[in-house]
This record gives sequence, structure tokens and C-alpha cells, in this order.
Amino acid sequence: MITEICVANESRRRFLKSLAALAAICLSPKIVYGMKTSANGWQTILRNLAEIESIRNIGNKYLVSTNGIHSFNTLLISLKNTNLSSLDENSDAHEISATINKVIREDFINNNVVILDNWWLSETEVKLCALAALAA
Amino acid sequence: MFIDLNDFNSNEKLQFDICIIGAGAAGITLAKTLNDGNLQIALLESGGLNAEGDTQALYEGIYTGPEYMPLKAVRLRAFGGTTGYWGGQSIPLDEFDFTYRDWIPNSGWPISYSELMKYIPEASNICGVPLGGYQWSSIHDNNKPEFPFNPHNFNDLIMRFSSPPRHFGEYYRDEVGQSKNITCFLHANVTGIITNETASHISHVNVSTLDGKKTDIYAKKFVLACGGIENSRLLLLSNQVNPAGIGNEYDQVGRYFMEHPNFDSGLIKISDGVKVTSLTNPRLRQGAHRVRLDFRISEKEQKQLSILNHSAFFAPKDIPQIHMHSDIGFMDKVWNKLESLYEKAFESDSENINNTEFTLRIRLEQAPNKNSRITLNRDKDALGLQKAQLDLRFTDLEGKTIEAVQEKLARELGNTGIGRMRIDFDPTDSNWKNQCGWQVHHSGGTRMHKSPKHGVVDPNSKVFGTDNLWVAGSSIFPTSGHANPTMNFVALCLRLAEHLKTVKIV
Repeated sequence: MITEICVANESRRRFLKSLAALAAICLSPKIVYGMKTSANGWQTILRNLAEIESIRNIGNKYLVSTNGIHSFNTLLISLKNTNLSSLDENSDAHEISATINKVIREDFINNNVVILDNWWLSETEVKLCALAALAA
Repeated sequence: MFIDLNDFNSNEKLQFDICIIGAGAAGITLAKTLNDGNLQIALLESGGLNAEGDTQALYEGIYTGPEYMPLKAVRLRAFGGTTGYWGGQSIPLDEFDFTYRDWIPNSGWPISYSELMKYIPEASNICGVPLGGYQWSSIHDNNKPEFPFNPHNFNDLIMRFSSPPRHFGEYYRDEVGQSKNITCFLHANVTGIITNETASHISHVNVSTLDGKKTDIYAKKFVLACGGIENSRLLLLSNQVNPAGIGNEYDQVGRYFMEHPNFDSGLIKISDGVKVTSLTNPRLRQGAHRVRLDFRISEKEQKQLSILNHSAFFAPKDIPQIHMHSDIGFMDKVWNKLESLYEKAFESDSENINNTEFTLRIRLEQAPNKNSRITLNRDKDALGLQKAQLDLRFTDLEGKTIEAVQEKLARELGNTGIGRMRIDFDPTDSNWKNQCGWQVHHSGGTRMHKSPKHGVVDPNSKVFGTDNLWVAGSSIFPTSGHANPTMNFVALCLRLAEHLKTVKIV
């Protein structure tokens, strides 16, 4: 569970970095804001850590657009209420990627959409980006 | 046979069974279909066999409305009519276009969809459009990619192309020219429709060349087939008996004029690694013919969202909108360029397979609007006839439809994992109407209705209040859907021809 992940700092940081990197693979902020990656697996995740700035950029825009109401913990709590809560530090890359994609698609179906710079993005994907920004 | 009125001298009364005014797709279809050996048919063409500048200038008119092209540039006034500029794209109207949609005032037809579809196979043949279905499932190709959207949200549409586009003036020139029963008068401008004293029966039409040579053409039956603006204009000009013109007892002539606006907007980005060639490369060749996959919000969802019919496709960002020029020579060049662009689009689709950025092109139905209308202006043309004035108007539904399509697509792209969309459209900024491209499809003006209080022609296309005057072409459309009109009005011309053969005029 994501709240349990919060308890263990080291694993939390590792997990969040992984999550953010996977977001870079799975999510479209990267296509919107110019990152050029596509692959699976931890090697790619590590490579993507270098491109985390794009993710943070989205995250910061979201944090500004929500007038600073979100903190690291409030974001975690809101993400806990999604199907992402099934993930933990033992989740493998494939599972994380598949789960994130599933939640994002559900966001679009359920109209949980955030508009940033006129781009229509999933609420979960921008919250993950915001999390990455705050975890920096 | 062809007779150029400029070279014609006769003292005989020119009497025919049927007189068709206008030799475009509608007029030619009617003439060739009625040509069963028993009828003498007059086909009157204002222009010659090819476009001429002074004749084309007769289309000059006054326009008020969102930015548009010069009126004299949007129709072709020569044998074959505007098919000379036709791109060949064809699809039948939708079944729900024929129904009353309670969120679209004045929508629906007084005839059924099946009345149209009965004639579509023959209309396809006349237009050179290959027969086949109009859904993606009708394309039989093992390499065909899947249509990726949820059918509850979006339906696929197949646009079939007459390829090369059938220019009626060239294609049917010999058939008309060699016919003993069709007399096609060239440079024959109708300057008046002459009726009895109650304006209920047409006896003849006055015809004049631009040089002032005049004659009269008598017939038992008359059909107006000279385009979406000119059909209304001629009825309004024929005001010798009724000051409001023929068939205009309830002030309906010229109203409910519609176009098909194109609107390009937004930026679609395809996710890395995602291949959706049915959307990004929607053009296919089927043997010698071309098809293109479009999509639209499903009928059920259109109802739910209370929006207009439309079609859409992913357009490469550098494909231009059509903006015609008023000069004929230039228009030919523009059209040739466009045709080569269309061809290139088909040829280069495979090269564009790695494109990941597109804009969304939406082709809109316009809502029937009583105040979108053709009237007569005080200015006169070279024949001394009042010019047309077109006041083309939108309703709020067009902007609402663009907004709804974009938002639904943005969600669909997200929930299918295909990509994301940036939406820049603001319906409250009315300037978007000035950024539209146009399909140059003129519909309405002499709309079909059961009642003369709401239309100009009855369900058999006969002008209300007359016993021997009919109208052909898309000016009779009460609603125009998103479909290209040519094949549809050709089908309705076949229906009209069948009807005309049964009508006895005493």
C-alpha cells in the first residue's frame, strides 16, 4: 500500500523514483513535453531518471494550478484511493506499468481529467508527476 | 445534341416535353435518365462546354457572414457544372439525418432514408463511385488495421472516392451530344420563368445570351437544376405575378441555406510506440479506387450530447484548407494543385507512417437556420438581373459540436492509450467561424417539406403552388448531414426522373 511505503523512507524514495520513471515511460506528459523514450524494464527506468525533469515540470505546473493545496502526503493519500494502492515496493516493472496505464485509462473514462496548457491529461498522471516534483 | 445559342437562328417555336434549367450533375443526370426515346428534353446551360470569364461573372453576388470565398468562384458555370472542381468524395447521408432530432430545430426530411438508398447504387454508377459499404467492415483487406475506438463512442465511416473524380462535363459530353432527344442549349441564360396569371403553371422561360440574343423555350414540365444559390435566385427573380417570386407564398424561398464548414483545431500527439495506422494513415487504395477512413461520434452519443452530425479525421498539420480564388485560370491551377495534393496524400501515406503529430479536421453539418438565407440585391448582373445576396449564418450548435467532438476525442485517446490531445478551441470566441475552411457544398434555399409554410418543394420536389415546376440538387435538402451532397442529390434526381415520367400535365 502506498501509505505503508511512506513509512520506510529508503524504499519509499526508491519506489517513487521508479514510479516516476515508469510514469515517464507510460504516461503522455513525456509525449506532450518532448521526452523520447519507450521501453520496459529497469534499465530503461534508470535511464529515464535522467529525464525526470520533464515529469517534474508537469508536476510543478499542476501544483501551481492547484494553488499549492497539495503536499507530498495529500498526493499520496489521493493516489491511495486509486487502484495504484495495489502496488508496493515488491511490484515489478511490468506490474507497475500495467497498473498505472489501467488507472490512467479509467481516469479518462470517468472524466477525471486535468487540463494543463490546454492538454487533456489524466488526474493520476499529473499527480504522479507532482509527486515526482515534490520528491526531488 | 448541342446548340450554341450564339450561333442559333430559328423562327420556330421551341417546344419540349421537359425543360431542365442547368447542366450540372443534377441536370445531366435528369436528362440522361429521362432520355428513354419518348421525351424531347431541353437542357439549358448558361455557359459553354468550358468555363468562360464573362459567364462566370454572372455568379457574382453580395455576401455577408463569416469569411468565405467570392461567390463567383464557388460554382462552375459551364456544361458539367461544379463537378469540374469535384474531388469525388462520396458517402450517403445517414439514416438519422432523415429523422427529426429534437435538439436541432427544423431538422428531418419528409421522405425516408430508404427512399434515398433505393437510388444510391445507380447514383454511384453515374458518379463513378465504386459500389460498396460505407463502414470499415466493408473493406476487405487482410492488412487492414483495426479501428481503435470504442463503437459506443465513435463510429467509423468510409469515404469512397470517384477516382479520378468524374467531371460530368467531360464524361457525359458525348452521350448528351449524340442524343437525338436531348437538346443542350449552350450560352442559354434563363432570364425569366413565365407563368399563367395565377403563377401556378409555367408556360415557358425567357432565354438570352450575354450578347442579347433572345429566345423562349416552351415545355410541359420544367426543372430548376442550377445550384444551391441560383435555384432560389431564379424563383425570387420570377416575380412578374407574385412580387415575392414563385413558390414563395410563405417567404420560404432562399431560407435555410447551409454549407459544410471544415474546422482544423487542436494538436494530437500519438504515444511513443503506438501504431494506429487506421487513424494516422487513413487512406487506402482499393484497386484503382480510393477510400478514406473517417470517424464521428456515434448517433446515440450525438443525441446524448445534443450536437450536429459531423465527420472527422486526423489531418497532417500541413494540408491546406481550400480557399478558391475568383479568377478562373487561377482556380484551375488551384484545383489541379489540390488534386495532385489529394493524390500525393494517398501516395505518401506510407511515408507518413511515422508521423506522431496531427490536427483534427472536423467537417460539420450546419443546423437549418431560417435566417441563413439568399435574397436579391439591388445590384444587377450583365443580363440586367438582380444579383444574389447570401447571408450565411451559424447557430450555437456548430461551436458546441466542435467542442464536444474534441473533448470526446481527447478522452478516447487517453482511455485507449493512443495519445493525448491539446484543445485550443474556444466557442465563445466567435472568430473561429472566420477560420473555417469550406467544402463548398451549398444546400437548402428551396428545402423540401410537407407544408409550404416551412418549405419550397413538396416531397416529390415540386414547387408548392405550381403544377409543372420541380427543383433538383442539394438546394432541396432540409438537413445536410456531413455527407458530400453530389451522389446524394444525383440519387434524388433519379427518384425525381421516375416521378416525372408518371406525371401527366394537361
